[in-house]
Amino acid sequence: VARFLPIEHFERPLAAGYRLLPFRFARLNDTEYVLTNQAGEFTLITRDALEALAAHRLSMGAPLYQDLKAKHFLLDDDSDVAIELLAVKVRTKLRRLAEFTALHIFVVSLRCEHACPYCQVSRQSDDKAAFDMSRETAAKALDLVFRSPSPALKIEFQGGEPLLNFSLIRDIVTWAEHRNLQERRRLEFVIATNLALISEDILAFCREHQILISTSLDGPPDLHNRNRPRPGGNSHELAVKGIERARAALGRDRVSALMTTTEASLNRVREIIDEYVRYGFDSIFLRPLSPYGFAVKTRWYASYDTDRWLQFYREGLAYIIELNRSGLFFAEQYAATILAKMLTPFDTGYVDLMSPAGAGIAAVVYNYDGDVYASDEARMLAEMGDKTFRLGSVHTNSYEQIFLSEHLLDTLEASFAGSAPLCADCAFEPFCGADPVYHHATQGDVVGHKPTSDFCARNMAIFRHLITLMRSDREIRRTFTKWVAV
Amino acid sequence: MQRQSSISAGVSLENAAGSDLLSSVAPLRPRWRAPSAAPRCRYTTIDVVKRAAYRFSDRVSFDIRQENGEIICQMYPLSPMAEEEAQALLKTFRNEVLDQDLRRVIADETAPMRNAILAFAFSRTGLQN
Repeated sequence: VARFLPIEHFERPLAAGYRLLPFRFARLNDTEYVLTNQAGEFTLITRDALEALAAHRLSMGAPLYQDLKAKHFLLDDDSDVAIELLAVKVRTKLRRLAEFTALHIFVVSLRCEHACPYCQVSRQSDDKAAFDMSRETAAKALDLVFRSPSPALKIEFQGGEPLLNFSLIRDIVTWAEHRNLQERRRLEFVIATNLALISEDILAFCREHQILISTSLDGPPDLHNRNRPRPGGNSHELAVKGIERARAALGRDRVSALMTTTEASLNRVREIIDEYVRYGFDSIFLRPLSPYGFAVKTRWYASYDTDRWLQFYREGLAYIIELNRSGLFFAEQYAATILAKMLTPFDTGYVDLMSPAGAGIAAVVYNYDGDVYASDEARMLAEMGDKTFRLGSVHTNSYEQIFLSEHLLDTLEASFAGSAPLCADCAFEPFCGADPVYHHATQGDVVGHKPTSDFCARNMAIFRHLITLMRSDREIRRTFTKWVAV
Repeated sequence: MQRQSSISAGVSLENAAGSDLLSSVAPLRPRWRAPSAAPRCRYTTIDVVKRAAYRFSDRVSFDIRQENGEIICQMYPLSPMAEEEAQALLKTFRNEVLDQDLRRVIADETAPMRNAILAFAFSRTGLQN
């Protein structure tokens, strides 16, 4: 029995030739194009080869032919399972759609003892009655949480500073766990806190209920305290002490941190990353400011443009790659999220990079007053007086009224990247997302004019940069693969 | 059979004062206009040219029309543009038209396959109902 087909088999001209599978392409540089298939697998190819592929002139014996076949860009008589295989990959990428809303954000208080000029949620400093969520509101919101069909439910407590209303967090966690004895979902809790008010009692409760902590760390003390002023000027000190205490109580991997880039950060990306390394984090999320809340009012958002932020980001990424070369495992989280889309059939569920947009169908916000918003950014916009993405209220609307509202569905349909101008043809669309709230806030249109969109410019630049880095250096590709594997 | 078309996108810089498109913006702006000897681009469609144009709509506004089997494309910079920059943009635009044309060919050829794959992909999700 012959174990392999004879060599003549591969040299023969294909009687039926090959068929193209759906793919999109974009120029990467002067000589190369990026091709992506429906599942987001990508390859690089020259213009001549692209034309030869499209004109059915590729020879079956060429290495490029086999590569394109393996990555589902073409189909011939030898690959009769290719369509089903590609369909399985597409289904895997989109599986979160069927699961529906997994992230439920409770704004338990809009009060905060910090006074950050870049605060995107427009915190309030007083009037507990007006800006704290009530138990009645929380109970009604929890009813909606468990109406979601998602087998995994993450309840995230946000503010303001949510620890200012910790008694309510305690109630919600207790109610949710009790209810989950019947529901049997994969239930997870996160508190997004600046840690200034953390206490042993709170940590004991978090340990007992396996609550994750997400905090803010903007960099070295002077930068962090400048970005995040509070009475006493000791935000950094409280944050790092809180991180250590929380790690000791909950475990190292139960505490994460986020940074926000301000104008003062721009020339200090290495110091910021060093600060994360110093405090034992194995990753950082280099985040630009968003166009909401006080960040707009104080003009901090307008203090740098996309090009300048990209310069900051590239410099930071280069430094992180250097750290990895020296033997330290350290990842950039935004890159890792995108790389997971590029290198695996899985989607990470990161709400800003989803299409259809994650608004409402991946994440939803229950505001302190009971209003329900399509995303965290939607409630930020509401505090600025624009309630476009208010879906209803836990007090007056049913689950069906909120999640099947024409307003939400119209927004999701209109902004769907697969049919949006420019996005529909874009090779990077499988890695990208629709962000209707951002485009509404910046351009007054949920679809957005992509040639002038900072969202588009920022993400396209990052996609190109990551692919170029992987193309240029195998060691970088190995490093990126490790980030995705984690 | 598709009609043979051409893209006119040569460059001539001139005082646009009086132009109905630009006079309200500022005088003395460069304007692109179709030259009489236009490069020919066979078999493309006005839809392809419009798709290519959209990508440049952050820098240029367009007047696209079809006359006597030719596609005439006039480009009006949104802000002052040096001739060198205008030439570079024109070159990139021409390449983008070629890319869009190829995208159309691939999309047309693979449309049934794309639908079949999506049908397979969604067949067991319950979402199709």
